[in-house]
Amino acid sequence: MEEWKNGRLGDWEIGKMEDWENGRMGEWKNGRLGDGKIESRSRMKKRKPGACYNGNATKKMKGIITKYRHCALIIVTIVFCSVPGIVRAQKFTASASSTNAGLNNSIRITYSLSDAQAESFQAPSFSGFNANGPYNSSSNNISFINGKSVVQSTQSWIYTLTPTKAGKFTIEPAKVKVNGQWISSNNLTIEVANTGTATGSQQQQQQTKQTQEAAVEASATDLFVKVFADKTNVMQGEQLTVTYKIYTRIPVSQYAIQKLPTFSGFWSYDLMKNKEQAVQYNETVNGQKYTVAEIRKVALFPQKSGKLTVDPLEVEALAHILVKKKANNPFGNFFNDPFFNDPFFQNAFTSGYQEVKKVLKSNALAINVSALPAGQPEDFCGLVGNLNMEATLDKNEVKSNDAVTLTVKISGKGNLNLIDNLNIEFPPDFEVYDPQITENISSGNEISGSKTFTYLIIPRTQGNFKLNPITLSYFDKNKKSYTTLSSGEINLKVGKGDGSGGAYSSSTSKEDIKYIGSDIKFIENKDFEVFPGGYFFFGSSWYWFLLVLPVLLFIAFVILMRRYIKLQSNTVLLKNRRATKVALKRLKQANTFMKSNERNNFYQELSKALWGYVCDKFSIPLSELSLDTARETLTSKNIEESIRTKFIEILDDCEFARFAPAEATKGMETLYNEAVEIISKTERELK
Amino acid sequence: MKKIFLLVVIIIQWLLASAADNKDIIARANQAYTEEKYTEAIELYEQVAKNNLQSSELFYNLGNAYFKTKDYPSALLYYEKAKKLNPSGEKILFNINVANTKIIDKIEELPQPFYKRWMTGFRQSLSVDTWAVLGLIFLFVFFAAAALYLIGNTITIRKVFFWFGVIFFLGALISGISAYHQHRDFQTAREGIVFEPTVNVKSSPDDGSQDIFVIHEGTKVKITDKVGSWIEIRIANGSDGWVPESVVRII
Repeated sequence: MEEWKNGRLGDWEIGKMEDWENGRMGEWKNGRLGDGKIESRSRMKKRKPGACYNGNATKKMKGIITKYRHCALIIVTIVFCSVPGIVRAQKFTASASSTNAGLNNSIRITYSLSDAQAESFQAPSFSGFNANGPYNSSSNNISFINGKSVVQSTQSWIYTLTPTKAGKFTIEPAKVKVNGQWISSNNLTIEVANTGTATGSQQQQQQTKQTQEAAVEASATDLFVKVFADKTNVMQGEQLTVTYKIYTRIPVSQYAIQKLPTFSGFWSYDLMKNKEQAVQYNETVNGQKYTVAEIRKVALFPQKSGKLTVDPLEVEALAHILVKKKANNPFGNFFNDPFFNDPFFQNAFTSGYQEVKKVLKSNALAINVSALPAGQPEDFCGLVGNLNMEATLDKNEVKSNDAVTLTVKISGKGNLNLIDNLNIEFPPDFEVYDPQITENISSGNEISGSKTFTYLIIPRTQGNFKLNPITLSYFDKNKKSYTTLSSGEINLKVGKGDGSGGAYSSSTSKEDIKYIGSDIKFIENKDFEVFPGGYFFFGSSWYWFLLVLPVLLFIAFVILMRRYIKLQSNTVLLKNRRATKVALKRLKQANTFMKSNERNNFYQELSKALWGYVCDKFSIPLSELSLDTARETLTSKNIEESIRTKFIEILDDCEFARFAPAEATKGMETLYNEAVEIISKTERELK
Repeated sequence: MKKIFLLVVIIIQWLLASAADNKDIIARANQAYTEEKYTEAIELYEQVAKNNLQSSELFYNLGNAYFKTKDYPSALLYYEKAKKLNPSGEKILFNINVANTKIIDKIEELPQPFYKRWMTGFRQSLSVDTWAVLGLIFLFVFFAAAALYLIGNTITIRKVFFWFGVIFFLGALISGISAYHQHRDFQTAREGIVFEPTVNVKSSPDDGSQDIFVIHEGTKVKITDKVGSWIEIRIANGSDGWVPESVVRII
């Protein structure tokens, strides 16, 4: 029933077979007249027996008919005459499912407004009842009668009433506002009995009606629905066409699709979208001639591989079947009137055509869908067919801030609906508006057509721009391979604008660098070393060793330096300091020898004193001691020339005196004095 | 004696060969990455990494390969590993920022006092071992300066070497402290990346306890405690709570 609300089913209620049409019409209209109104044959309301054929109403109607038979006939005639291009006034009526009920029964009250749009609805107070509702519904009913369309729209408000006490109740009219005017419905009188069930003829009536319907079931060979597919083995994404056909050997006044197949696993496209009338033709099946109508034709595109099922379609048909009238036919008396013995009515009424509702269910179809081969291109969207692409700019040279149109047209066979947008990379300096998409799909046996994307582009800066080729991938059915369409490079030369473009005049304003996207930096592509995990030089034994090493080295250095300094002071400095002392001691000894006139000892001691002094004072190793080294050392120590010569002379004299006769030498006393003098002089010189 | 010598030769050869092998694998991985075969690159890099071999470059490249396969938690894990080895690597820090834009949680980082930021920044400008080596060099120079100071026999020379020594001693001290701190951070501060798509952080280490907040994959957490199979985590904005150990991979 949901499909109904979409307003699509109305298309499928199609009248049939002219030859019996007139007769049927007669019965139809008259049947309606019984209630004193023309009621919509809305499928929204379940046509429960008794809902329309109200027993009480029928009785009342009989009375009315006898009273105003001629008037009734006039109305019939008017209705007949005005069938083509009917202009009907709006009608607002109230009807009850029954006018008498037991305390435990519920009554359905329907307010229906036909051929008008209600602006507001005001319900009456249902005193004596508990009201539930309203349940709103609206329906459009289009019937094709003799090739003419009869459109009837009905809006209904339905209440379910439960009586709270017994008695006779009048339900006040409901009001509805149409075109600014309030319209009231009729009154309803409901009688509530104390008993638990509904009484009287109504129930009998219902039973009769049911038996009638059961008795005149149309056989399955007279009326059935079948589904056909042009192929049952397809590739994923390949089109297959499914047709639902109704076969009939008996007149069918109307049929409406009750349950649409869901086509799960398929992408579907209705091929009869724009056609108002079903294709009809005759076909012979098993030697029987059938009238066949294609009621639905759908192009399907499988979206997955495997075994897929096309669900059955359910159609409710109103068949027109010849039956023998039962005695309690409510219209029997009425139609037995001489007026209806007219040949025009004879056929229709006396032979007793009965309208029978039948729900037909088609068979299901199994479709084998094979998967597409591997290696799909990245931008593949499931498109199968045979396509072309064309991309054009309306001009190749523009000034900045002037609009350019890029038109991409994709045409060919295939499910073009699958392309919902193209992936075009525009330079960031382009202002691009959402594309305008126009679709031109022709639904022949194979869906084909074109889809056009129109992009409005405004280049904001000047320069030579290159658009990357626009690509679209599809699976070529004929070549059995993937094909990628490419538009080729598109070039656009943008010249300097005249500056009227506003904020974008490039010479005066500066732009921030636009970051088009953020991506990570590239890998380290050079050779690099890897180390065992968790290894640190810090804290390793090598680290500690290298840390302690300079400390140790420094300590060693300090120790060595100290020792060296000590050594230096021990030998050189001490000797130096003691040199004069030793010399004086020796001179003193020499003096003693001189007094005791021991010549040899005196000279020996004097010579020792002088040599020792030179040795200690100038740190000359004893082994190197000679007159020459003494002279050199004295020279290097910057001793005055005279002192130096004198020193060497005395040393020489001493040596000489030791081995020469006494007469040939200087006196001991002179030499002694000279030695003392020269030592003190040297001492003075050194300070 | 001969046997030992032979053994040593074999071991050295094996080490050299495996080093060459690793270089070869890395070169192949880099090649694969350049050719946009990211999964192949990941396999090759992982082959090197699983031998417990590491370097900031290796982890950085591995992170990049994971990023390209859109496995952002893994990418962040390896970037962080790379950052640990090379805290000032510009490319690493850049890519961490990019990868962080791809994950779900955007956590406002708790602001730190400026001096702390400076100190951490200074410390992290060099890696542990660079600090260690620098410290040793400074120490050597300091002792050399001290020795020259002692030997020096004029006042100017001694003055120059005195200040030289003071500066290098301070340098050695700072380097040593930095190396020590960073090394300690490395060993003790355990951080992890969340690998479960959505994790409810609990108030205590037990399934029945209250959910405090929700974090998503790729978020970096600090691990502050562990009880049984539960760990206490702290996220950058200072919130903390307990999650099962299995949802986090340690950096």
